[in-house]
Amino acid sequence: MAGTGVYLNWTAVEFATSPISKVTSVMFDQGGQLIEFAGDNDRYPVVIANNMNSPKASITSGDVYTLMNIVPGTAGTLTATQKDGLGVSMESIVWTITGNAVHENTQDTGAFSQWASATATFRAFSTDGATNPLTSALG
Amino acid sequence: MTPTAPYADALMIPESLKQGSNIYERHHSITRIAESLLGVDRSRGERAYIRKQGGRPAMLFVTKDRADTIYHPLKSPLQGHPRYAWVDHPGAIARGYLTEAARKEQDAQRDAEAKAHI
Repeated sequence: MAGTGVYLNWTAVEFATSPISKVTSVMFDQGGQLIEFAGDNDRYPVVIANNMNSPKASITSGDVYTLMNIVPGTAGTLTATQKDGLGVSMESIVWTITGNAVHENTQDTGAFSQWASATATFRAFSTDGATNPLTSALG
Repeated sequence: MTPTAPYADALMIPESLKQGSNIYERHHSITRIAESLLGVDRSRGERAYIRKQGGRPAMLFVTKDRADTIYHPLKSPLQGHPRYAWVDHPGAIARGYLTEAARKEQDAQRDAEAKAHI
């Protein structure tokens, strides 16, 4: 069965081999950065270059206890599977930051009469300075 | 270099080889190429892990191990040295074969990981 080409919900979300459940949102960010050059009488950039990328990720979950227990600075593998729109498992996308995801911070919020929710943010570094730490694979 | 292994250890695939009108088709078109050239066995849980490397032309670095890197890690005595001997092929896909030093480093790392799990 062919995939739908659209994606819905997340599964198999893990950080440092610890599964994270009750996930309501996951974000992977390529972290692209641009620098512009202008000089002389230029009033607009004349060159725009992508020189650096700083991939990031975040996970939002109702399991605030698990996310709040991750110590900032902890490094590990972060992986999450973005499911195919109709649940065709082979057509889901597995996003991974292998070993190089560093937990930055977790915020826990809970408003009156609403479910509590925590968001953990991560940054990623490259093992060799050249290889993109963010990988994708078909599930 | 004349490759003797049936499958490459890594691939550099130009993003221009992607085909299709949506992410599913484009991802699939690259995965199809990569899995056949890397000898991916899905029944054993293997996958082709794709990294967008950018550049001009924009390239994709693809391997069976999601921890693989293009160069030796910064913590290695061989830091900055390529881990693969690259062979260009028609269609502009470059096939990479692990150097002897990279293979030894990889084996040592796997041994260390196996001992850590005992």
